Order: sequence, then structure tokens, then C-alpha cells
Amino acid sequence: MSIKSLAIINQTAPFGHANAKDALDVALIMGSYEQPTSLYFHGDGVWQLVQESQPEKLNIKNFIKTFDALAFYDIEHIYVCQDSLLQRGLTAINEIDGLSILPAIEFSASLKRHHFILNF
Amino acid sequence: MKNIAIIVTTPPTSHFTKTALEFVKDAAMQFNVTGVFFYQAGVLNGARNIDLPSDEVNLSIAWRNIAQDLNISLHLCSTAAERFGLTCFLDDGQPSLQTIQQGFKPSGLGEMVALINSADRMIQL
Repeated sequence: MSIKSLAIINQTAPFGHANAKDALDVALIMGSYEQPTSLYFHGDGVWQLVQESQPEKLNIKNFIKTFDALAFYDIEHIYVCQDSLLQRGLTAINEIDGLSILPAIEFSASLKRHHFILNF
Repeated sequence: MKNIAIIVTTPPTSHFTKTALEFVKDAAMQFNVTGVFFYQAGVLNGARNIDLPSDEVNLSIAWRNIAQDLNISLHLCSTAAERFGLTCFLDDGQPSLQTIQQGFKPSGLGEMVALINSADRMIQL
């Protein structure tokens, strides 16, 4: 079984839909099977990186804290679309190990280096 | 022959799921479809008790027929299935025939890892 690399694209905001949590679950499983996996945050997906969000106020479990564990699962390549941040006026986002903020053109070029893409 | 893996994340009420079904049928003629993995609301495709008017396509049954006719495995994410109220496992680990359509196998996300790894192409709908 040859090793394939996977890119997981997050493009929905974190607490309106289960997409963000479902994407994170896939990422952690891929990581625990030692599969090369990168995370991408694009469009409304960048809202997942907002500092000090308090989903408990919406009765939603704070799965965002699990982002801090990504390095432990060897997920060390996390890319954020700079244009998406700018369009939403987001200047401060969570510091996560391995996170790079890339202009849209570099962001898409980096995506192309993966065998497979999953979208959430 | 190339291996194709399919990921279905939309419920049977979504027209994307109908597209996925047609895609699988066509892909199976040219490629080796190694499996279909149902995740998120896609697990509802494995619900046995969906009842539709007779002039509408029952996707749960359509998937069952595809699995039989084309010998394609249908993997139902068991965690997602339980979230959606589909109790998957009986004591012997077999899918419950009261809730799960024939042909669907309860699987973990690890099965998705294996499908992705054995695939030359992966399609998500």
C-alpha cells in the first residue's frame, strides 16, 4: 500500500454546521495512521481560527481546542488563505504549530502537491 | 485498471447523492470501484426504513442493488451513523437489519484511510 498525501479543505465556519468537527475527526484519524495530511483553511473556514471563541455559549463542545493537538498527530502543515482573512477583517488568529498564511495563489499551488483532496 | 474510491457526504434527499449513484454505476464500467464510504449526513443512505412514494427512486434500495450487482462495498461510518440515530451493531458486530439497509457495512474512519490509500482517484460528493 503506497502512501498518498491528503489535503483537507475547511471552508465552512465552525459552529453553524458539523463540517469543521467532521473534518478534524478525519484529520486526526489520518494522522494516527501516519498518513501525510495537510489542513487548509479557506473562505469562511478561516473563522475556525478565531482566537478565544466560546462555543460553549451555544451548547457546542469546544472541539477548537483540539487544534493544539494536531502536531501530536504529526499534522504539521496547516495553510490559511491570506485573502480569506483579509476579506473578513481578521487580523489575529490562533497560533497553531506549523501554520502558514499564504496568498491565494501560493495557497492553491500548495494544494496541487497532494494526491487527494477532501472538502468540508 | 485504476482504483476509484467514492466518498458520499450528502443524504438521500440530496440530488448530489443521485449524482453519486449514477457516477458509481458509470465508473464501475471502466474502473475498479474499491468502495463507497458514507460519512456525515451521507450515512442516512444506509437507513433501511426510508419510505418513499412508489414513483420516486429509493436511494437506500438503489445502493443495496448496486452493491449486489456490481459487487461494490458500501462502508457506513459507524460513529456518524450512531449520531444520526442508526444503531449499527448487534452483539455479534453485524449491522442491525432493523435499521441498516442490506449491503451496508458499519466501518470506522480507518476504513476511509485504507480506501484512500488503495485508490488512484478519489471522488467526494
